[in-house]
Amino acid sequence: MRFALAGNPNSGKTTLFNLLTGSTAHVGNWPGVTVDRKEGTYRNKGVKASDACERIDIVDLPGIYSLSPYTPEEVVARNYILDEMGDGPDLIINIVDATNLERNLYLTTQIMESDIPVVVALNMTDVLHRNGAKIDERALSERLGVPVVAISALHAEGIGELMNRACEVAKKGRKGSSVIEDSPMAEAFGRIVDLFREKGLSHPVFRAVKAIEGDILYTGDNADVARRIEEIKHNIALRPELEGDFEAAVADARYRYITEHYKSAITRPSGKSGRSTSEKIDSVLTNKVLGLPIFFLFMFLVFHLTFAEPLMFTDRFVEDGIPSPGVLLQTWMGNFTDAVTEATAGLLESMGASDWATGLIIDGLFAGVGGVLSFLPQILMLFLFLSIMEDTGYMARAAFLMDRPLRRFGISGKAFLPLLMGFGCSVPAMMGTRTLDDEKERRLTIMLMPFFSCGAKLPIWSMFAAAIFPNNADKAVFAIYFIGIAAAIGAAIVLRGTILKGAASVFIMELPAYHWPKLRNVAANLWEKARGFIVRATTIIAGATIVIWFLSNFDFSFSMVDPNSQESIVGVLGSALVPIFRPLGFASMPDAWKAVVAIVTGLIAKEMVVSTLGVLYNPEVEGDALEDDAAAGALAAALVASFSPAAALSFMTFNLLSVPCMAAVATANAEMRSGKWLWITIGFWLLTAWVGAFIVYHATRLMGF
Amino acid sequence: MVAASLGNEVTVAKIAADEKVKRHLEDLGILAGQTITPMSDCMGNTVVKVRDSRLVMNHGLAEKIYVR
Repeated sequence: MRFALAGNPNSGKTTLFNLLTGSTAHVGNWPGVTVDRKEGTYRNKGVKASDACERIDIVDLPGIYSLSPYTPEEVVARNYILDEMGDGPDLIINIVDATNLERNLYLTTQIMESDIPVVVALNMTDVLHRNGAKIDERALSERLGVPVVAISALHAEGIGELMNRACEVAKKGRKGSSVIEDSPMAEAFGRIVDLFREKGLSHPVFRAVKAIEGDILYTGDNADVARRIEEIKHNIALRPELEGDFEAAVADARYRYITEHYKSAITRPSGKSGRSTSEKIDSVLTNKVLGLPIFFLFMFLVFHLTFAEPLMFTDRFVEDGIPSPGVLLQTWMGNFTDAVTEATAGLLESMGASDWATGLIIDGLFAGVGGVLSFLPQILMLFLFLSIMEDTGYMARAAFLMDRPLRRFGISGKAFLPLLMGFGCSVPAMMGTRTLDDEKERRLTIMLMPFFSCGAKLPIWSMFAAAIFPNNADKAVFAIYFIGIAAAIGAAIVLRGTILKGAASVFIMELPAYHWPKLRNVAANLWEKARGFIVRATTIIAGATIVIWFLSNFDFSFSMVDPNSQESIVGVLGSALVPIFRPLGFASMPDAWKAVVAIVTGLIAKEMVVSTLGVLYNPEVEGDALEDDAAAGALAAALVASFSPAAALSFMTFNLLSVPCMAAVATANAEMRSGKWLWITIGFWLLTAWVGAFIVYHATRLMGF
Repeated sequence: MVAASLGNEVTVAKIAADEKVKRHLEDLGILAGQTITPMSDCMGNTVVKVRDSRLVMNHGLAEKIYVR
């Protein structure tokens, strides 16, 4: 058996899905679109193993308000329900938020039009009861003509009952019914339904409603049918205020029916109800004066707990202070990957592996993948906070607080959170742009992403700040973050005026009720992110590091040379590229090719910039400049000799603004689904980096550095 | 709707937004003839109560929703 889970955003659908499927859940993609397809298995322990209901596949449809074809999510849900992909559901569990019954039933009236059996899972009835209201499930069930089961997804109540009823109904089959049969359009509607029945089409009622709405998909390529539908529609007299808008007429009919037939299923406490808890919280968190400062305080805490070396004030009590949980976990992760690397090196040695094999595995693969994995704890920390914000409902408020400041740069508030995630890692941040409805705005947000300095770039800033600006290290790092934000604003204005013409999309969002975060949801979300990150680190990044290692250890005749020497393939390529970078300052120094090679390896992954510089500038010193103090000191001296302050800032700026890493390029490709736009984006990043570094170099020179 | 006084129920008369936005508003419960309550104004946005849900929209959109 296969059941689909359908419902509004914020109806508790994700909670129910996690509850039903537990650890069996996995995420894929719907074909052709970047919409997550979540699937899992529910095991019914109450029935015999031979029963079809013992093992039920659950498909989580995206959260939608309607089955109209206006967003990719709606199209996916609709195509799946109508079995366009050949693996349609045996039943739809429609989860309905009882505290917002009328609006949720709007989707239900649409689902009812299909011929698939339906069970309504009435969620949050406990909240409704707490508010003193009562809901008559039996009356609701009788009027809808399908079973209605009260559940609490949060407290795992009523789930067994829900699944048992679902199984009974799934075996029976159902005929679609529509609220239009109860509207002034009923007569004409009936004739269209008959027309589709004659043609032997599946889901005739659903198709007939779409035909009334003028949805061309369901008139098919049969010109005769299309003509007859037009004739029938021609005789429908719409009320004048609808201005001949059939879609509005259908929506209106749905809401009228809901108000007339279902509103009475809820008995509300008499007397004027006061403000809800959520409204009271909102009077503080979205307060005209306090809203933004509180939001910035939250953001500061999130980043402080994730990235701060010593937590604020703790260095007054403990020597060196207490590191933030993020930094602490990162140190442990680093120690772990180091231990694994060392053990493997020892093993290789005892096996008598050749130098090149050891080099490839230890200096190439392990160093590269280990470097990326060491950021995993901090990225997960960041996601922990973000998913708590999402789960509590604060995310919607944050988006609307940031809408106005961003709007003048052509970005809506919904884009703010993905951009913020960019400070952690561009890859999940780009995936986070899926919440944006407008394609242009999505492209714009993805293109701006690298300018928000990600965690992997931090080691570059730390290294240069310490070596070149020892007395102003924090200011230099701050300057880089500032340059990034300024570049993002400038780029947004330029892109909105040229290739992505247009203004920020209209901003409208539901404000969900606040509630405590649910451990199960947060954990599921984190696990999903961690798994994705690890998969990428062990595939794309591992592949790229092997390629880079090969290029930096072999020359064009494929014989091995000194690692990262000028004779290696990267050395030759780097030297050839030097003229391009000469106007940026850092490439006019002696040994300029080294900086250029670091820039090029940085295109693969930003973690490689520091390790490349370390290897190139002081090949005599053993050890990793990131971890070994002596190596770091020697490298700093070498850097001071090769980089003027202006050249250093220019070099940092280029790394900040250019292609972030291959993982980000792969993600941009997957999210934009357009080869043309991928190349435009890559070109845009490289161009901005060059122009940005040029401006920074000459501006700092003029300022006398 | 921006001009409507806060906290009082009003009826949507006409929505002058483009097709796609109009459909989205319908799905969220905002369509001609529907009663809605503008609740508060914050940072260039209007919070509206529609049936039992609360929606937030920017003034640019709120201006396109005519109420009586």
